Amino acid sequence: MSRYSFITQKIKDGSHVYMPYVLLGYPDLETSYEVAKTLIENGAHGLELGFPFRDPVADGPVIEKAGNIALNNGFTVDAGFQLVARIRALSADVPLTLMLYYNMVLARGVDKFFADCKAAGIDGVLIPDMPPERADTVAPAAHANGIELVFIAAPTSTPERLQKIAAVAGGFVYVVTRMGTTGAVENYSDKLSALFASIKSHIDLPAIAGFGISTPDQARKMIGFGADGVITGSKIVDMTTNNMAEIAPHTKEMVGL
Amino acid sequence: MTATLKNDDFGFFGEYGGTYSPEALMPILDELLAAFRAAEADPDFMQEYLSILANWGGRPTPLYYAGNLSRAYGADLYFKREDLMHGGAHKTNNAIGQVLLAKRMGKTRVIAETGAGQHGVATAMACAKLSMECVIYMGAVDVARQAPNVERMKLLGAEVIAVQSGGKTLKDAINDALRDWIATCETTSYVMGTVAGPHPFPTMVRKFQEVIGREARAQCLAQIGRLPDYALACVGGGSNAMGLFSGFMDDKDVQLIGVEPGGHGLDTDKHGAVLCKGVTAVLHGMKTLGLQDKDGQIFETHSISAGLDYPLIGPEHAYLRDTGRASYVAATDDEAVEALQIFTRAEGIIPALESSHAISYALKLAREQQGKIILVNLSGRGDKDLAHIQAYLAEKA
Repeated sequence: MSRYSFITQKIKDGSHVYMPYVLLGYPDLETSYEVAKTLIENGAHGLELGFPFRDPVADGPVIEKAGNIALNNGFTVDAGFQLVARIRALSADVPLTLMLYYNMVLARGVDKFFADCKAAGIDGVLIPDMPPERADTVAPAAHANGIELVFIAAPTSTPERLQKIAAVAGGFVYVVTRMGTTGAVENYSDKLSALFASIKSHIDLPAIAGFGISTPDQARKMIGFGADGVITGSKIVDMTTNNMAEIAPHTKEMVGL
Repeated sequence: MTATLKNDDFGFFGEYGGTYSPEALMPILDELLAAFRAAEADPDFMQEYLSILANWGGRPTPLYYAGNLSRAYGADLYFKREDLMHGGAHKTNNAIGQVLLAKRMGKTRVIAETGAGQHGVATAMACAKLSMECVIYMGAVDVARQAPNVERMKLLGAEVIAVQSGGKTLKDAINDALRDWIATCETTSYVMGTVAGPHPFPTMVRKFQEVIGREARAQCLAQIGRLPDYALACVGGGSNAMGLFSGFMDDKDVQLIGVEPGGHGLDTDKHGAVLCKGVTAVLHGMKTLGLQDKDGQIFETHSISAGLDYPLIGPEHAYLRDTGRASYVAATDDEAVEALQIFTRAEGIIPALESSHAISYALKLAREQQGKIILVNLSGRGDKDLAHIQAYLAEKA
């Protein structure tokens, strides 16, 4: 049984899930391990584990800067998989979703990459620059290794696109709740209820809100719009940089929503 | 629509090309593709595009026989004078086409990336003419080494954003322009400067640059009475080369050669010769070739010319390399500067540093292939490079 059933069951029981994002290797391997450990020990229902990339076009400036620091401090994909295995050893139940860019999958070789995922204890992989149209290039290798492919839905995703996503998606749907990472940020909040309703009518997976969420208030709003749970990313990086002691109470608060 | 190459409407050239973009961009790419296909099939649109190129842009550009160099090197050297295009480079062909399309789509704002500043200038000119708001992303390193073009863009009313991330060159400017577009795509069009990026950009930019090859082929027949033996162009992202090559794609006796930035040499890590040294990569929305490490982290490239300083390549070039229809070589920084000096003094034309890479290889080829006809795309003029060349020569002296 997939570890994602752990979150699916929680949602069925009427609660919401908190699945924070940890950028592996930031600022160094050991610190990011400690961050993951703190999140799990304080009740996070799942983790997104990011492999740093020099050109993260789907991420904002906080993740990009942190990724460059991680790479300058020597992060490699080999070291990343070793770290994932150590994080898996902390919990047998928590679903671990690896987030990384397509080029890193390609560079390792698709078959080897997904075999490494399985060996390290990964449950799903989210490739933000791989639209569902291109999923056929990795799906056989992913499924051969029991790895789910997780996809993003955006405020601009049409019903036709949600159907394409539904055909290949597993685990959960990562719902981008605002467009863009820099510059003028459009306010989509008036459309979010409709967005979550549309996603749920097309895709039978938990809809987890991410992007631009950092506070419990914002998380509560997303749940109000229909999200089954939330992800925080840049917020964890910020706390890692500025005050690691905040991570435990933040996690407890988010888990309790 | 274009029958010359295998290109279904997923935008693949063999295994290269396609669309590898964040979900947030996918609907807008679909919208752009539909708008482009409708526009290119609309005679009124294409007529307006060609009319602006003629009476505002100065087309057709001449085909120039370089008599002094031809006598000195023993082959017939012809140059397609894109340096005489309004704005000083071939980039205007594409910018006017895409800004016209943006207007047709009802967009009010245009963003673009630029390396040497030529595409930024061309886009700023087109936006001024067509009354569109214009924002140009440019790496901070390029802002410093292409100061005259930055001033031109500002004078034309564009906002220039100096990108501080990564190596602060073209790759980073594209990253930030794509991020802007994700946030603003409802009102904004992204005008890509080269035959790269997600579908439909490689196909669309080629379409708007095909005028180079179409004119050059007709001019060769009219002025020489035959087609050239070789057609050469410099290759950064690959738009001026695709423009020239497209005119001769079906003429199998015309050898197509792209000249890449060899930087300090292909045996160093300071070059941008993607077709000579790259491996399969996915970035900036396309599958193509790239210069990267074993984990897939894209390298920062080096070239004396900002316009060639890009670690990826337009996917159609990767396809042409694999199929053998075109071949690709490199010229180093030193060779390009030497060619620029030779060409300037022999012909009284200051070429862009980018184009000087193609000139360098053309001179080498002329020595080896006596009596042949060599056509070179003189993609831009070199005025923008004067300060950079002076500094380079002073350092060498």
